Amino acid sequence: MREDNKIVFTGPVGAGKTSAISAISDVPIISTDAKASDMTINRKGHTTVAMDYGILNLGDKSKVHLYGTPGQERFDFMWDILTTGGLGLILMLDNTRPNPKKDMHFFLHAFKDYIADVPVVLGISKTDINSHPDTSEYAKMLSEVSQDITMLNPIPPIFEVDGRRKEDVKNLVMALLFSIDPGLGMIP
Amino acid sequence: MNDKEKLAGAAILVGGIGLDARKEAVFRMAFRMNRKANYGFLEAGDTQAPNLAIADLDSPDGLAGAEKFRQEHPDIPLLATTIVPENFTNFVTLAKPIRMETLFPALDHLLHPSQPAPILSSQQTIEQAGKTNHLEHRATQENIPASKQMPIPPIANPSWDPDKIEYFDPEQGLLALVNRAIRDHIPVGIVDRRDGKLLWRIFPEQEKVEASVSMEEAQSIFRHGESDLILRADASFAATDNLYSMTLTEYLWQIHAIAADGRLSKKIPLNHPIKLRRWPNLTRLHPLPEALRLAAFLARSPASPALTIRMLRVQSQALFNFLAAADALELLDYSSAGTGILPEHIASAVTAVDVPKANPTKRGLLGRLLSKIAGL
Repeated sequence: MREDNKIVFTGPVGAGKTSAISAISDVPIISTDAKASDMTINRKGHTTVAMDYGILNLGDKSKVHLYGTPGQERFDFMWDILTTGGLGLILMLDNTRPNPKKDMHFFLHAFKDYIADVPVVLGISKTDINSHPDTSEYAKMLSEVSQDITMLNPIPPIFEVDGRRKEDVKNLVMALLFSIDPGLGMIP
Repeated sequence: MNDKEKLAGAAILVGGIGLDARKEAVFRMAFRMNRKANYGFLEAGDTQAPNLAIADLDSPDGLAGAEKFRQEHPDIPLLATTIVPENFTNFVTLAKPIRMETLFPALDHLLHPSQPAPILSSQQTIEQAGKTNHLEHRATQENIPASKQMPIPPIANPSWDPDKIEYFDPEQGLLALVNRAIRDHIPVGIVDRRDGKLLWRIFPEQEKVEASVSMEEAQSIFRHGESDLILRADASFAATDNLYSMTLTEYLWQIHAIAADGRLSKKIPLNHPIKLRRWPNLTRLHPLPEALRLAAFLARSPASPALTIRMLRVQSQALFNFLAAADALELLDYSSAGTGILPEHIASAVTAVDVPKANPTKRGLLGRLLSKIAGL
């Protein structure tokens, strides 16, 4: 199995990346949570300081690796390592954060080289707590923040999600796969 | 026709250099779409010599592979894809992201360099070896030859007969009344006058709908008794009604799909390209068959309903329901004819037999992953 069979989950602290990977991983995720310090502690008692790792076994000894990036910007040196090769990027945004547009801008630009080559899918979490911006507003934001970057899929899926809900995470991943090849799963 | 047979029939064999499974899938899809060009993508184990090669210079072994290939096969054209064409001036490059409308003119030019070059952007030209060879093509209505703008050929899918399509008009009947009430911000109820039962109460200002019937019941009502539904401003639910609450967006999505009931909206021409302005928020909308795949396809590039059925081999009813629902949320862009892929151009290049069957034993990684995720 090729080492680039990986899906990367990224986004700010508390957006639900760890939960999302846990929801679909075949194995208990390897998570490097630690007690949060500095500003992170305001949002989450523990946070991911290295990365999360999960696996999807495909039944023929092949597997897909699921990586979750640290949500903290000071760890962005690791993201290059995580995004060497791969199937796509799932960007999770927390709708209760003060400036989701700024978050979107930051993460899309941090991964701009990656998403020129692979599709990105956006999952918006905590919309039950804060319903705005909604997905149509995120679509408008996206057109503004992505003007100076090249995206493989300039009109990406933008879904409301709860990282704890398997169905939501399944939809994110399936949307990613169909963004790669809409012909997958065609009627025989 | 399986992949091997199709490859055997291909006039131009293409080899990949430094392409991973995902990128290979993208090129296979592109080649399947443009049957007229008759390209076939060589598998990793194939021993046939390619007629041309496509390299991904941004992959870990792409550049080395491309250089090696050029040394070993100096006579075989090589198209290098990269996000930084300016860094690879010794290759003929095509800038990522790769598009149908840029890929095929670039390949044609590689194979037939004496033919006119693709239209270039104002800043970029095709220059001779040793200089920048960056192809940047812009497809427009004008540069598609008339000969390629042919009628859609007959389709082999037995469940699909364009002459048997049924239509519905979303601007007539109950949907029109509902849409008017929403537009005018008037709270209204929808009542079945046979028994006076209030089925839905719509609160446009609050973007909310309360329902006393499930969607399955609604489907039956629309099939058998739409003419008995009326709008009433003063209707109220019975105390014994079980009420469901949903957003206005959810309601419009569902009710238009139900009203379509496998029929094509009269607003949507069968052979006119349409594109999604953005994806529906599918995790919070009533699931419709094939919605993810259809959204991915129509968000990628404009395609007519006829072409979409042909390419994806979806049931026409599934597509028409999806389009009705998406149109209700104003997600369809009808003005995309001149933006890139032209349906006539593509349609003339595609027949149903060209779309491969999903062979379970030959599913690639992506197909296996899709099956895995769907089964979780």
